Amino acid sequence: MHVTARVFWAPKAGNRTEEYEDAFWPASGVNRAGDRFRFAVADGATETSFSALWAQLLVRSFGAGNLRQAHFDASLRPEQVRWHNAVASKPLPWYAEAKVLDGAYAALLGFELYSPYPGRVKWRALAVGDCCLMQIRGDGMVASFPATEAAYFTSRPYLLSSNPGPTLALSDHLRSAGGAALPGDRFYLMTDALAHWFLHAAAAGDAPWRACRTVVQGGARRFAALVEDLRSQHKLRNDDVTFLAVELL
Amino acid sequence: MPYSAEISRANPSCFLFLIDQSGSMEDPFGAGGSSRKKADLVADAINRLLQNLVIKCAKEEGIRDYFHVGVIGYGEKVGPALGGALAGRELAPISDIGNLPARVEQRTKKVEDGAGGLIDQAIRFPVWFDPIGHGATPMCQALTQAHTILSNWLPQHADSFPPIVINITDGEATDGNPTAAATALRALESNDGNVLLFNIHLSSKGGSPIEFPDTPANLPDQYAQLMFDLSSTLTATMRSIAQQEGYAASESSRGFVFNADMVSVIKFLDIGTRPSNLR
Repeated sequence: MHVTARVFWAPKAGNRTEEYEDAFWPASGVNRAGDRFRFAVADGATETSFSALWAQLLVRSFGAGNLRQAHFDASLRPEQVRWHNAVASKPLPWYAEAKVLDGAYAALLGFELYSPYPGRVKWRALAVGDCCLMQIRGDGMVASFPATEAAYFTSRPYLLSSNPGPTLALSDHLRSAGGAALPGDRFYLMTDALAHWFLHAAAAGDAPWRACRTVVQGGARRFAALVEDLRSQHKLRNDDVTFLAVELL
Repeated sequence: MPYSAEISRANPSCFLFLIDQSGSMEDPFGAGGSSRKKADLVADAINRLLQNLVIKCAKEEGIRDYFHVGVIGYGEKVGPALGGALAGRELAPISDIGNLPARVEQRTKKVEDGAGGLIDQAIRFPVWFDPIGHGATPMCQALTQAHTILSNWLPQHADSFPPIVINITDGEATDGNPTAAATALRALESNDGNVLLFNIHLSSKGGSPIEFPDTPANLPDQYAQLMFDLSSTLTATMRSIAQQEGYAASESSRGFVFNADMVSVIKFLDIGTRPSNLR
Protein backbone atom coordinates (compact mmCIF):
# COMPACT_ATOMS: atom_id res chain seq x y z
CA MET A 1 0.00 0.00 0.00
CA HIS A 2 0.99 3.58 -0.51
CA VAL A 3 0.20 6.08 2.22
CA THR A 4 0.53 9.83 2.53
CA ALA A 5 0.14 11.83 5.72
CA ARG A 6 0.34 15.50 6.69
CA VAL A 7 0.02 17.09 10.09
CA PHE A 8 -1.31 20.53 10.99
CA TRP A 9 -1.24 22.06 14.46
CA ALA A 10 -1.74 25.30 16.38
CA PRO A 11 -1.42 26.27 20.05
CA LYS A 12 -4.35 27.62 22.03
CA ALA A 13 -5.00 31.28 21.18
CA GLY A 14 -3.21 33.42 23.76
CA ASN A 15 -0.51 30.80 24.36
CA ARG A 16 2.99 30.78 22.96
CA THR A 17 4.05 28.10 20.49
CA GLU A 18 6.27 26.51 23.17
CA GLU A 19 3.17 26.07 25.35
CA TYR A 20 1.48 23.71 22.87
CA GLU A 21 0.78 20.46 24.76
CA ASP A 22 -0.49 18.14 22.05
CA ALA A 23 1.88 15.69 20.34
CA PHE A 24 1.84 13.70 17.11
CA TRP A 25 3.69 10.87 15.43
CA PRO A 26 5.45 10.78 13.06
CA ALA A 27 7.04 14.17 13.50
CA SER A 28 6.87 15.01 9.79
CA GLY A 29 4.86 14.04 6.72
CA VAL A 30 4.74 10.62 5.09
CA ASN A 31 4.70 9.66 1.41
CA ARG A 32 5.80 6.08 0.79
CA ALA A 33 4.87 2.48 0.18
CA GLY A 34 4.97 -0.12 2.91
CA ASP A 35 3.15 -2.93 4.74
CA ARG A 36 2.63 -1.19 8.06
CA PHE A 37 2.18 2.42 9.20
CA ARG A 38 1.65 3.78 12.67
CA PHE A 39 0.30 7.20 13.55
CA ALA A 40 -0.63 8.78 16.86
CA VAL A 41 -1.90 11.99 18.43
CA ALA A 42 -1.91 12.85 22.12
CA ASP A 43 -3.29 15.73 24.17
CA GLY A 44 -1.53 16.75 27.39
CA ALA A 45 -3.89 17.97 30.13
CA THR A 46 -3.93 21.71 30.86
CA GLU A 47 -4.12 21.25 34.62
CA THR A 48 -1.04 19.05 34.95
CA SER A 49 2.59 19.99 34.40
CA PHE A 50 5.12 18.55 32.00
CA SER A 51 2.08 17.33 30.05
CA ALA A 52 3.71 18.05 26.67
CA LEU A 53 6.65 15.81 27.56
CA TRP A 54 4.28 13.01 28.59
CA ALA A 55 2.27 13.38 25.37
CA GLN A 56 5.51 13.18 23.34
CA LEU A 57 6.66 10.02 25.15
CA LEU A 58 3.29 8.36 24.49
CA VAL A 59 3.14 9.04 20.74
CA ARG A 60 6.77 8.01 20.24
CA SER A 61 6.21 4.79 22.16
CA PHE A 62 3.15 3.99 20.05
CA GLY A 63 5.02 4.86 16.88
CA ALA A 64 7.78 2.44 17.85
CA GLY A 65 5.22 -0.34 18.30
CA ASN A 66 5.67 -0.53 22.10
CA LEU A 67 2.12 0.35 23.14
CA ARG A 68 -0.36 -2.37 22.24
CA GLN A 69 -3.79 -3.25 23.52
CA ALA A 70 -2.49 -6.40 25.25
CA HIS A 71 -0.50 -5.60 28.43
CA PHE A 72 -1.01 -1.89 27.77
CA ASP A 73 -0.53 -0.89 31.41
CA ALA A 74 2.74 -2.83 31.67
CA SER A 75 4.00 -1.23 28.45
CA LEU A 76 3.31 2.22 29.97
CA ARG A 77 5.79 1.63 32.80
CA PRO A 78 9.01 2.39 30.85
CA GLU A 79 7.49 5.67 29.65
CA GLN A 80 6.44 6.55 33.21
CA VAL A 81 10.01 5.94 34.36
CA ARG A 82 11.36 8.06 31.49
CA TRP A 83 9.03 10.91 32.43
CA HIS A 84 10.02 10.81 36.08
CA ASN A 85 13.72 10.73 35.28
CA ALA A 86 13.34 13.72 32.97
CA VAL A 87 11.42 15.93 35.41
CA ALA A 88 13.10 14.90 38.65
CA SER A 89 16.57 15.79 37.45
CA LYS A 90 16.41 19.46 38.41
CA PRO A 91 15.57 21.32 41.63
CA LEU A 92 12.03 22.70 41.50
CA PRO A 93 10.06 25.30 43.49
CA TRP A 94 7.50 23.85 45.94
CA TYR A 95 4.55 24.22 43.53
CA ALA A 96 6.33 22.56 40.61
CA GLU A 97 7.38 19.72 42.93
CA ALA A 98 3.74 19.28 43.98
CA LYS A 99 2.72 19.13 40.30
CA VAL A 100 5.41 16.52 39.59
CA LEU A 101 4.02 14.38 42.44
CA ASP A 102 0.56 14.65 40.85
CA GLY A 103 2.00 13.45 37.56
CA ALA A 104 1.24 14.43 33.99
CA TYR A 105 -1.86 13.25 32.15
CA ALA A 106 -2.69 12.90 28.47
CA ALA A 107 -5.22 11.46 26.07
CA LEU A 108 -3.80 9.15 23.39
CA LEU A 109 -5.04 7.87 20.05
CA GLY A 110 -2.90 5.32 18.23
CA PHE A 111 -3.76 4.22 14.67
CA GLU A 112 -2.23 1.52 12.54
CA LEU A 113 -2.67 0.59 8.87
CA TYR A 114 -1.41 -2.87 7.97
CA SER A 115 -1.60 -5.36 5.15
CA PRO A 116 -2.38 -8.87 6.47
CA TYR A 117 -1.82 -10.22 2.96
CA PRO A 118 -1.21 -8.62 -0.47
CA GLY A 119 -4.10 -6.55 -1.75
CA ARG A 120 -5.85 -6.29 1.59
CA VAL A 121 -5.51 -3.36 4.01
CA LYS A 122 -6.91 -3.21 7.53
CA TRP A 123 -6.78 -0.66 10.29
CA ARG A 124 -6.86 -0.83 14.04
CA ALA A 125 -6.80 1.84 16.71
CA LEU A 126 -6.62 2.23 20.45
CA ALA A 127 -7.60 5.21 22.55
CA VAL A 128 -7.71 6.53 26.08
CA GLY A 129 -9.49 9.87 26.45
CA ASP A 130 -10.96 12.09 23.78
CA CYS A 131 -8.63 12.25 20.80
CA CYS A 132 -10.59 10.93 17.80
CA LEU A 133 -10.23 9.07 14.54
CA MET A 134 -12.60 9.60 11.61
CA GLN A 135 -12.66 7.35 8.55
CA ILE A 136 -13.82 9.19 5.43
CA ARG A 137 -14.74 7.41 2.20
CA GLY A 138 -15.87 9.42 -0.81
CA ASP A 139 -18.11 12.20 0.44
CA GLY A 140 -19.09 10.56 3.71
CA MET A 141 -17.87 9.45 7.12
CA VAL A 142 -17.95 5.69 7.61
CA ALA A 143 -16.61 5.49 11.16
CA SER A 144 -15.51 7.60 14.11
CA PHE A 145 -13.71 6.35 17.17
CA PRO A 146 -13.92 6.42 20.15
CA ALA A 147 -16.47 9.26 20.01
CA THR A 148 -19.46 8.88 17.75
CA GLU A 149 -21.13 12.16 18.74
CA ALA A 150 -20.24 15.56 20.17
CA ALA A 151 -21.82 14.69 23.55
CA TYR A 152 -18.87 12.36 24.22
CA PHE A 153 -16.63 15.29 25.11
CA THR A 154 -16.24 16.57 28.68
CA SER A 155 -13.65 18.72 30.42
CA ARG A 156 -13.01 15.83 32.86
CA PRO A 157 -11.97 12.80 30.77
CA TYR A 158 -10.10 9.76 32.12
CA LEU A 159 -6.50 10.12 30.93
CA LEU A 160 -3.21 8.23 30.95
CA SER A 161 -1.06 9.18 33.92
CA SER A 162 2.70 9.30 34.26
CA ASN A 163 2.15 7.83 37.76
CA PRO A 164 1.28 4.12 38.04
CA GLY A 165 -1.42 4.58 40.71
CA PRO A 166 -4.12 6.51 38.82
CA THR A 167 -4.12 4.05 35.92
CA LEU A 168 -5.27 1.10 38.00
CA ALA A 169 -8.69 1.35 36.29
CA LEU A 170 -7.10 1.57 32.84
CA SER A 171 -8.74 -1.54 31.40
CA ASP A 172 -12.15 0.11 31.87
CA HIS A 173 -11.08 3.09 29.77
CA LEU A 174 -8.83 1.64 27.05
CA ARG A 175 -10.90 1.48 23.87
CA SER A 176 -10.03 -0.34 20.66
CA ALA A 177 -11.54 -0.67 17.20
CA GLY A 178 -10.65 -1.87 13.73
CA GLY A 179 -11.91 -2.39 10.23
CA ALA A 180 -11.17 -2.60 6.55
CA ALA A 181 -9.52 0.18 4.55
CA LEU A 182 -10.00 0.79 0.83
CA PRO A 183 -7.87 2.83 -1.56
CA GLY A 184 -8.99 6.45 -1.37
CA ASP A 185 -9.97 6.23 2.30
CA ARG A 186 -8.91 9.15 4.45
CA PHE A 187 -8.25 8.79 8.15
CA TYR A 188 -8.27 11.95 10.24
CA LEU A 189 -6.72 11.93 13.71
CA MET A 190 -7.66 14.93 15.87
CA THR A 191 -7.31 16.13 19.42
CA ASP A 192 -10.52 16.96 21.26
CA ALA A 193 -11.31 20.57 20.34
CA LEU A 194 -11.20 19.91 16.58
CA ALA A 195 -12.87 16.51 16.97
CA HIS A 196 -15.74 18.08 18.90
CA TRP A 197 -16.30 20.62 16.12
CA PHE A 198 -16.06 17.91 13.46
CA LEU A 199 -18.66 15.60 15.04
CA HIS A 200 -20.99 18.47 15.86
CA ALA A 201 -20.77 19.71 12.26
CA ALA A 202 -21.22 16.20 10.86
CA ALA A 203 -24.39 15.72 12.91
CA ALA A 204 -25.68 19.05 11.57
CA GLY A 205 -25.16 17.87 8.00
CA ASP A 206 -22.29 20.29 7.29
CA ALA A 207 -19.92 17.62 5.87
CA PRO A 208 -16.82 18.93 7.73
CA TRP A 209 -14.59 16.44 5.90
CA ARG A 210 -14.84 18.75 2.88
CA ALA A 211 -13.25 21.62 4.85
CA CYS A 212 -10.61 19.17 6.09
CA ARG A 213 -9.86 18.03 2.53
CA THR A 214 -9.42 21.66 1.50
CA VAL A 215 -6.92 22.09 4.34
CA VAL A 216 -4.93 19.03 3.28
CA GLN A 217 -4.77 20.32 -0.30
CA GLY A 218 -4.20 23.96 0.70
CA GLY A 219 -1.56 23.53 3.40
CA ALA A 220 -0.67 25.28 6.66
CA ARG A 221 -2.13 28.66 5.72
CA ARG A 222 -5.47 27.12 4.87
CA PHE A 223 -5.42 25.31 8.22
CA ALA A 224 -4.65 28.52 10.12
CA ALA A 225 -7.50 30.27 8.32
CA LEU A 226 -9.93 27.47 9.18
CA VAL A 227 -8.94 27.52 12.87
CA GLU A 228 -9.26 31.28 13.10
CA ASP A 229 -12.60 31.21 11.32
CA LEU A 230 -14.03 28.50 13.57
CA ARG A 231 -12.71 30.13 16.76
CA SER A 232 -14.19 33.51 15.85
CA GLN A 233 -17.58 31.87 15.32
CA HIS A 234 -17.20 30.03 18.66
CA LYS A 235 -17.52 26.71 16.83
CA LEU A 236 -14.06 25.63 17.96
CA ARG A 237 -13.23 25.77 21.68
CA ASN A 238 -10.04 27.70 22.39
CA ASP A 239 -7.51 24.91 22.93
CA ASP A 240 -4.46 23.37 21.24
CA VAL A 241 -5.49 21.97 17.83
CA THR A 242 -3.90 18.99 16.07
CA PHE A 243 -5.01 17.45 12.77
CA LEU A 244 -3.13 14.48 11.30
CA ALA A 245 -4.54 13.56 7.88
CA VAL A 246 -3.70 10.10 6.51
CA GLU A 247 -4.68 8.92 3.03
CA LEU A 248 -4.50 5.42 1.62
CA LEU A 249 -3.79 5.76 -2.09
CA MET B 1 -24.59 31.98 29.36
CA PRO B 2 -23.16 33.64 32.51
CA TYR B 3 -20.09 32.35 34.32
CA SER B 4 -18.65 30.95 31.09
CA ALA B 5 -15.84 33.45 30.38
CA GLU B 6 -12.49 31.84 29.67
CA ILE B 7 -10.02 32.31 32.54
CA SER B 8 -6.61 33.04 31.04
CA ARG B 9 -3.55 35.21 31.48
CA ALA B 10 -5.04 37.75 29.07
CA ASN B 11 -8.38 37.62 30.93
CA PRO B 12 -7.66 36.78 34.57
CA SER B 13 -10.25 36.39 37.29
CA CYS B 14 -10.01 37.42 40.94
CA PHE B 15 -10.13 35.70 44.32
CA LEU B 16 -10.61 37.74 47.48
CA PHE B 17 -10.40 35.95 50.83
CA LEU B 18 -11.81 37.51 53.99
CA ILE B 19 -10.43 35.89 57.12
CA ASP B 20 -11.85 36.32 60.61
CA GLN B 21 -8.94 37.03 62.95
CA SER B 22 -11.07 38.13 65.91
CA GLY B 23 -10.78 37.13 69.57
CA SER B 24 -13.59 34.57 69.26
CA MET B 25 -11.32 32.57 66.98
CA GLU B 26 -9.27 31.72 70.07
CA ASP B 27 -12.17 29.51 71.22
CA PRO B 28 -11.91 25.79 70.59
CA PHE B 29 -13.26 24.41 67.36
CA GLY B 30 -16.22 22.06 67.69
CA ALA B 31 -17.63 20.53 70.84
CA GLY B 32 -16.03 17.70 72.80
CA GLY B 33 -12.84 19.34 74.08
CA SER B 34 -10.87 19.60 70.85
CA SER B 35 -7.40 21.04 71.35
CA ARG B 36 -7.61 22.94 68.10
CA LYS B 37 -8.80 26.51 68.09
CA LYS B 38 -10.96 28.04 65.37
CA ALA B 39 -7.99 30.26 64.54
CA ASP B 40 -5.97 27.12 63.69
CA LEU B 41 -8.65 26.05 61.25
CA VAL B 42 -8.84 29.48 59.66
CA ALA B 43 -5.09 29.46 59.10
CA ASP B 44 -5.26 25.91 57.71
CA ALA B 45 -8.18 26.83 55.45
CA ILE B 46 -6.56 29.93 53.93
CA ASN B 47 -3.16 28.26 53.57
CA ARG B 48 -4.70 25.27 51.77
CA LEU B 49 -6.87 27.46 49.55
CA LEU B 50 -3.86 29.53 48.47
CA GLN B 51 -1.71 26.43 48.04
CA ASN B 52 -4.30 24.71 45.84
CA LEU B 53 -4.92 27.83 43.78
CA VAL B 54 -1.17 28.23 43.14
CA ILE B 55 -0.83 24.57 42.18
CA LYS B 56 -3.79 24.83 39.82
CA CYS B 57 -2.04 27.67 37.99
CA ALA B 58 1.46 26.17 38.03
CA LYS B 59 3.09 24.84 34.87
CA GLU B 60 6.64 23.79 34.15
CA GLU B 61 7.77 27.33 33.32
CA GLY B 62 6.28 28.91 36.45
CA ILE B 63 2.90 30.06 37.75
CA ARG B 64 0.46 31.40 35.18
CA ASP B 65 -1.38 34.51 36.34
CA TYR B 66 -4.91 33.25 35.82
CA PHE B 67 -5.97 35.01 39.04
CA HIS B 68 -5.37 38.15 41.03
CA VAL B 69 -5.60 37.34 44.74
CA GLY B 70 -6.12 39.32 47.91
CA VAL B 71 -6.60 38.46 51.58
CA ILE B 72 -8.36 40.85 53.98
CA GLY B 73 -8.09 40.08 57.67
CA TYR B 74 -10.66 41.41 60.11
CA GLY B 75 -10.25 41.48 63.88
CA GLU B 76 -8.37 44.18 65.73
CA LYS B 77 -8.18 45.96 62.40
CA VAL B 78 -9.47 45.43 58.87
CA GLY B 79 -7.06 45.41 55.96
CA PRO B 80 -4.73 43.47 53.67
CA ALA B 81 -3.43 40.55 55.74
CA LEU B 82 -0.66 39.01 53.66
CA GLY B 83 2.75 39.43 55.25
CA GLY B 84 6.40 39.59 54.32
CA ALA B 85 7.10 40.81 50.82
CA LEU B 86 3.34 40.84 50.11
CA ALA B 87 2.51 43.09 53.08
CA GLY B 88 -0.03 45.81 52.42
CA ARG B 89 -1.03 44.58 48.97
CA GLU B 90 -4.76 44.50 48.31
CA LEU B 91 -4.39 42.29 45.25
CA ALA B 92 -1.38 40.43 43.83
CA PRO B 93 -1.02 38.11 40.85
CA ILE B 94 -1.13 34.43 41.89
CA SER B 95 2.51 34.02 40.84
CA ASP B 96 3.57 36.47 43.56
CA ILE B 97 1.51 34.55 46.10
CA GLY B 98 3.15 31.27 45.07
CA ASN B 99 6.68 32.65 45.04
CA LEU B 100 6.41 34.55 48.33
CA PRO B 101 4.96 32.39 51.15
CA ALA B 102 6.00 33.34 54.69
CA ARG B 103 7.83 30.01 54.96
CA VAL B 104 7.86 26.50 53.49
CA GLU B 105 7.54 23.52 55.88
CA GLN B 106 8.48 19.89 55.36
CA ARG B 107 5.57 17.48 55.74
CA THR B 108 4.59 14.03 54.51
CA LYS B 109 1.67 13.00 52.31
CA LYS B 110 0.27 9.56 51.43
CA VAL B 111 0.55 8.65 47.76
CA GLU B 112 -0.41 5.52 45.82
CA ASP B 113 2.49 3.18 45.13
CA GLY B 114 1.01 1.68 41.95
CA ALA B 115 0.45 -1.72 43.59
CA GLY B 116 -2.72 -0.82 45.46
CA GLY B 117 -0.95 0.51 48.56
CA LEU B 118 0.06 3.86 50.02
CA ILE B 119 3.50 5.19 50.89
CA ASP B 120 4.73 8.33 52.64
CA GLN B 121 6.05 11.03 50.36
CA ALA B 122 8.03 14.03 51.65
CA ILE B 123 6.48 17.27 50.43
CA ARG B 124 7.06 20.95 50.96
CA PHE B 125 4.06 22.80 52.42
CA PRO B 126 3.93 26.60 52.05
CA VAL B 127 2.53 28.74 54.85
CA TRP B 128 1.23 32.26 54.39
CA PHE B 129 -0.76 32.61 57.62
CA ASP B 130 -0.36 31.67 61.25
CA PRO B 131 -3.36 31.49 63.61
CA ILE B 132 -4.44 34.89 64.98
CA GLY B 133 -7.33 35.76 67.28
CA HIS B 134 -7.60 39.30 68.70
CA GLY B 135 -10.29 41.95 68.90
CA ALA B 136 -13.87 42.23 67.65
CA THR B 137 -15.40 40.86 64.43
CA PRO B 138 -15.97 43.76 62.01
CA MET B 139 -17.32 41.58 59.19
CA CYS B 140 -19.44 44.38 57.67
CA GLN B 141 -16.33 46.49 57.36
CA ALA B 142 -14.46 43.62 55.71
CA LEU B 143 -17.28 43.08 53.20
CA THR B 144 -17.34 46.81 52.47
CA GLN B 145 -13.58 46.87 51.93
CA ALA B 146 -13.97 43.94 49.54
CA HIS B 147 -16.59 45.98 47.69
CA THR B 148 -14.14 48.87 47.31
CA ILE B 149 -11.33 46.64 46.06
CA LEU B 150 -13.52 44.90 43.49
CA SER B 151 -15.16 48.18 42.39
CA ASN B 152 -11.67 49.33 41.40
CA TRP B 153 -10.68 46.03 39.78
CA LEU B 154 -13.79 45.30 37.72
CA PRO B 155 -13.71 48.26 35.28
CA GLN B 156 -10.25 47.12 34.12
CA HIS B 157 -11.41 43.50 33.75
CA ALA B 158 -14.91 43.91 32.36
CA ASP B 159 -14.97 40.54 30.55
CA SER B 160 -13.51 38.52 33.39
CA PHE B 161 -15.01 35.43 34.95
CA PRO B 162 -16.68 37.13 37.93
CA PRO B 163 -14.58 37.52 41.08
CA ILE B 164 -15.07 35.03 43.90
CA VAL B 165 -15.02 36.22 47.52
CA ILE B 166 -14.52 33.52 50.17
CA ASN B 167 -15.24 34.54 53.76
CA ILE B 168 -13.85 32.29 56.53
CA THR B 169 -15.52 33.01 59.87
CA ASP B 170 -17.40 31.79 62.90
CA GLY B 171 -20.25 33.98 61.75
CA GLU B 172 -20.66 36.25 64.80
CA ALA B 173 -20.22 39.75 63.37
CA THR B 174 -19.92 42.55 65.97
CA ASP B 175 -20.43 45.55 63.69
CA GLY B 176 -24.00 44.90 62.67
CA ASN B 177 -25.92 42.56 60.40
CA PRO B 178 -23.69 41.82 57.39
CA THR B 179 -26.64 41.21 55.04
CA ALA B 180 -26.65 44.67 53.45
CA ALA B 181 -22.88 44.72 52.87
CA ALA B 182 -22.98 41.17 51.46
CA THR B 183 -25.86 42.04 49.14
CA ALA B 184 -24.02 45.11 47.85
CA LEU B 185 -20.91 43.00 47.22
CA ARG B 186 -22.85 40.38 45.27
CA ALA B 187 -24.46 43.15 43.21
CA LEU B 188 -21.07 43.99 41.64
CA GLU B 189 -20.62 42.33 38.29
CA SER B 190 -18.48 41.78 35.23
CA ASN B 191 -20.00 41.23 31.78
CA ASP B 192 -20.00 37.52 32.61
CA GLY B 193 -22.05 37.68 35.81
CA ASN B 194 -22.26 38.83 39.41
CA VAL B 195 -19.53 38.58 42.02
CA LEU B 196 -19.82 35.30 43.92
CA LEU B 197 -19.69 35.34 47.74
CA PHE B 198 -18.99 31.99 49.39
CA ASN B 199 -18.74 31.36 53.13
CA ILE B 200 -16.82 28.89 55.27
CA HIS B 201 -18.45 28.77 58.70
CA LEU B 202 -16.45 27.27 61.55
CA SER B 203 -18.33 26.67 64.78
CA SER B 204 -17.42 26.15 68.45
CA LYS B 205 -20.69 24.33 68.95
CA GLY B 206 -19.77 21.22 67.02
CA GLY B 207 -21.91 19.63 64.39
CA SER B 208 -21.11 17.37 61.47
CA PRO B 209 -19.51 18.89 58.39
CA ILE B 210 -22.00 20.13 55.83
CA GLU B 211 -20.87 20.92 52.28
CA PHE B 212 -22.74 22.92 49.66
CA PRO B 213 -26.24 22.53 51.14
CA ASP B 214 -29.30 23.70 49.25
CA THR B 215 -31.33 24.36 52.39
CA PRO B 216 -30.49 25.89 55.80
CA ALA B 217 -32.75 23.33 57.45
CA ASN B 218 -29.99 21.16 58.96
CA LEU B 219 -27.79 24.04 60.12
CA PRO B 220 -27.42 24.22 63.90
CA ASP B 221 -27.90 27.90 64.69
CA GLN B 222 -28.76 31.41 63.50
CA TYR B 223 -25.15 32.26 62.61
CA ALA B 224 -24.80 29.32 60.28
CA GLN B 225 -28.19 30.08 58.76
CA LEU B 226 -27.18 33.70 58.20
CA MET B 227 -23.93 32.67 56.51
CA PHE B 228 -25.95 30.28 54.31
CA ASP B 229 -28.31 33.12 53.34
CA LEU B 230 -25.40 35.37 52.40
CA SER B 231 -23.83 32.75 50.11
CA SER B 232 -24.23 32.75 46.32
CA THR B 233 -25.41 29.57 44.64
CA LEU B 234 -22.85 27.48 42.79
CA THR B 235 -22.68 28.21 39.05
CA ALA B 236 -23.98 25.60 36.59
CA THR B 237 -20.44 24.52 35.68
CA MET B 238 -19.39 24.31 39.32
CA ARG B 239 -22.45 22.22 40.05
CA SER B 240 -21.73 19.87 37.17
CA ILE B 241 -18.12 19.37 38.29
CA ALA B 242 -19.21 18.99 41.92
CA GLN B 243 -21.55 16.19 40.86
CA GLN B 244 -18.77 14.49 38.90
CA GLU B 245 -16.62 14.73 42.04
CA GLY B 246 -19.32 12.94 44.03
CA TYR B 247 -21.11 15.86 45.72
CA ALA B 248 -24.91 15.90 45.80
CA ALA B 249 -25.31 19.36 44.26
CA SER B 250 -28.67 20.76 43.19
CA GLU B 251 -29.61 23.99 41.41
CA SER B 252 -30.01 25.64 44.80
CA SER B 253 -26.69 24.45 46.26
CA ARG B 254 -24.84 27.32 47.87
CA GLY B 255 -21.14 28.07 48.00
CA PHE B 256 -21.26 27.41 51.73
CA VAL B 257 -19.65 24.86 53.99
CA PHE B 258 -20.11 24.32 57.72
CA ASN B 259 -17.23 22.91 59.78
CA ALA B 260 -15.49 21.83 56.59
CA ASP B 261 -13.00 23.23 54.11
CA MET B 262 -13.68 24.61 50.67
CA VAL B 263 -10.59 23.46 48.80
CA SER B 264 -12.89 21.55 46.44
CA VAL B 265 -14.12 24.89 45.01
CA ILE B 266 -10.70 25.29 43.42
CA LYS B 267 -11.38 22.05 41.54
CA PHE B 268 -14.77 23.39 40.42
CA LEU B 269 -13.10 26.16 38.39
CA ASP B 270 -12.55 25.35 34.73
CA ILE B 271 -9.22 26.53 33.28
CA GLY B 272 -8.93 23.63 30.84
CA THR B 273 -8.80 19.85 30.79
CA ARG B 274 -8.54 18.27 34.23
CA PRO B 275 -8.31 14.46 34.25
CA SER B 276 -11.16 12.69 36.04
CA ASN B 277 -8.58 10.32 37.59
CA LEU B 278 -6.45 13.14 39.08
CA ARG B 279 -7.07 13.29 42.85
